[in-house]
Amino acid sequence: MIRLAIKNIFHKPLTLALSVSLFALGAGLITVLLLLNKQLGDQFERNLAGIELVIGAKGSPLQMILCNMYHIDAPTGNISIGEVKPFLNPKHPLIRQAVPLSLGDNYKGYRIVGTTPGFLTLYTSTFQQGRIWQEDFEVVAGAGVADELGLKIGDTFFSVHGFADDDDMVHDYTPPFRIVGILEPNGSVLDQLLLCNSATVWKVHAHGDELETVEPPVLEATPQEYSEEQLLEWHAEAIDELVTKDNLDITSVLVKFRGRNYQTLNMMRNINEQTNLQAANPAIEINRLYLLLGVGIEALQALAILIMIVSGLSVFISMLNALKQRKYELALMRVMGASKAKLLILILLEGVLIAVVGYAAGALIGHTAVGVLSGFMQDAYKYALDPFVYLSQEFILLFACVGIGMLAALLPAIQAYKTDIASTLTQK
Amino acid sequence: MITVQGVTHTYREEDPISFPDFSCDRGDQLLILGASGSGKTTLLNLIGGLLKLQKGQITIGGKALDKLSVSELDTFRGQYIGMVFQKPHFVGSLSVLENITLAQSLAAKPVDKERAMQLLTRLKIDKLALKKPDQLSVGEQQRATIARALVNKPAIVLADEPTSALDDINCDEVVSLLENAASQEGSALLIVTHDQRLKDKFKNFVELTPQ
Repeated sequence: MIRLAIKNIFHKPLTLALSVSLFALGAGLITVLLLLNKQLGDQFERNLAGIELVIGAKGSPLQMILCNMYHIDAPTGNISIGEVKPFLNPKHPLIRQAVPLSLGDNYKGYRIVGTTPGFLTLYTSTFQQGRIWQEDFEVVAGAGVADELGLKIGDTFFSVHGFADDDDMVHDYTPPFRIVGILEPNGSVLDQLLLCNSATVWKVHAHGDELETVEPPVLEATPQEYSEEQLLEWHAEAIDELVTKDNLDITSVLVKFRGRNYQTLNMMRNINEQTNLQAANPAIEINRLYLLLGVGIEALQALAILIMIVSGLSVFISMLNALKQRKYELALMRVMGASKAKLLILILLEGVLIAVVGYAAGALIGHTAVGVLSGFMQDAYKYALDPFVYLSQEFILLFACVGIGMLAALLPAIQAYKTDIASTLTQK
Repeated sequence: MITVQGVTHTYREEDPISFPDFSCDRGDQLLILGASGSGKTTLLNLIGGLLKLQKGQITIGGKALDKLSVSELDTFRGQYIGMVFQKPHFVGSLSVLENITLAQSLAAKPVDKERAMQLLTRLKIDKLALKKPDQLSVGEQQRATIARALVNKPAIVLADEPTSALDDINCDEVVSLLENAASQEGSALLIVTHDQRLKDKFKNFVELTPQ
């Protein structure tokens, strides 16, 4: 029966191709949307990392969030440590943890982030190899960077100014950066970053200063484990040192509050209204971004659903047309012993098969498209998508396709069921 | 093998069609002649179990048709009756051979390719077995439908106007093919036609009268 249905649908290859490609287009588009939505949502979610406020230079708040939390946009500008000093104070009544970030350089497109050990506690990361930075120009690489660039403990490189790989902008008058540790992959933005202390970023940009070359340290690959207390202690030391340098610049401060209340809300407003700084809540900004993207996603979804309906129609019309030619063979099958129900099932099966083939092609197209898209994103933003994830919604999509195929075949199937053999075959 | 007794069919209350009684044994041949409007098609459909029997008795291979349910009739038809039509019809997506084995599987019999090939060889179209039916000439198609009608060793072969579209030479050929093939398989052959040319070729015939 299934073999017969398969032969029947392949009997008209052009009709089959039309229906299948329509199904594939619709299903493919929906698959891409599902995967993108899920994976981007997950990325944004994971990278929130409990950060409730970002303080940086005035500009677009969304840009500031994208730059400092997701590392995909340019900074809004610099802020001096003097300005943000109050927020770095460990005794601040509202702030539990404040992590300063200094951006400005990259290596082969991967951003170099000058920060304090507290940054690692935000993303609860552990070491795959080596240790945390201790001296200037010591670098801890995210798993993704290390993997992509083949970095090992002890490797050295020169940074490039800005956020794009550009040979003309190499900072080669500094001592080389040296990899001292590699982190375990944890799916957050950390995977795509190179971390060092804040002083390193200043030194790179303090043109003309004498920079003595230091003796390369002895490095070991065995991963060190650090307790959160240990990291926070170093973090506090680094902050203590940082706040003595009023005139130096950083890019932003990531803030976690002690608790959420009207005072924290006021704090954000006060910063925005009364200082030269800008404060933004990442969750709110990302929601705004979603609302903006949402219109586009909804339009695409509507389009995809429309294509699915058209594909159903195409199956319906082609089957109904074919039925006029096929009524003899259907009557013939009745004569040869097939029951009415058998014909009904045969036609339904043909509709379902077209839908399943279309769905399979669509899933293939969708996942391939996400794979290609992932390549683009990796190049542009250092974010990767996983094209091999199979979401439960895709399973629902399969059922939807089967449903549409069955629905499209229903009327033709009922007609086949009602074929009057006697009058069909004895017609002269 | 087949007996028809006291059968009357009524489409409209005022003019019922009644059929003469007849019977045909295994290996025998019977011609049922009738002009259009004499109820040929109705008789054919009644014998084939495609129309429900209203009055009278039809027995095929010892089974009374009125005792069978609709789904039993479907299987019965597949197993006991082989049909040949004026125009050869096939399942277009299947090869000639597959069309014939389809008749086996639809009649709930095991698929036996050798048996199907034997028949095709006997009808001299074995070389065309893997072609699609629409690649065959009309004569070759007619042979293939005969092979299909016989593949399940049916009790009777029911031929509906097998010759009326053919010229004299082809008419003779198809009739003798049908006769030979049916008698070799031990099936009764029932030809329903208005084609007067066949009258001389059969010793047994029943004439349907327009009513």
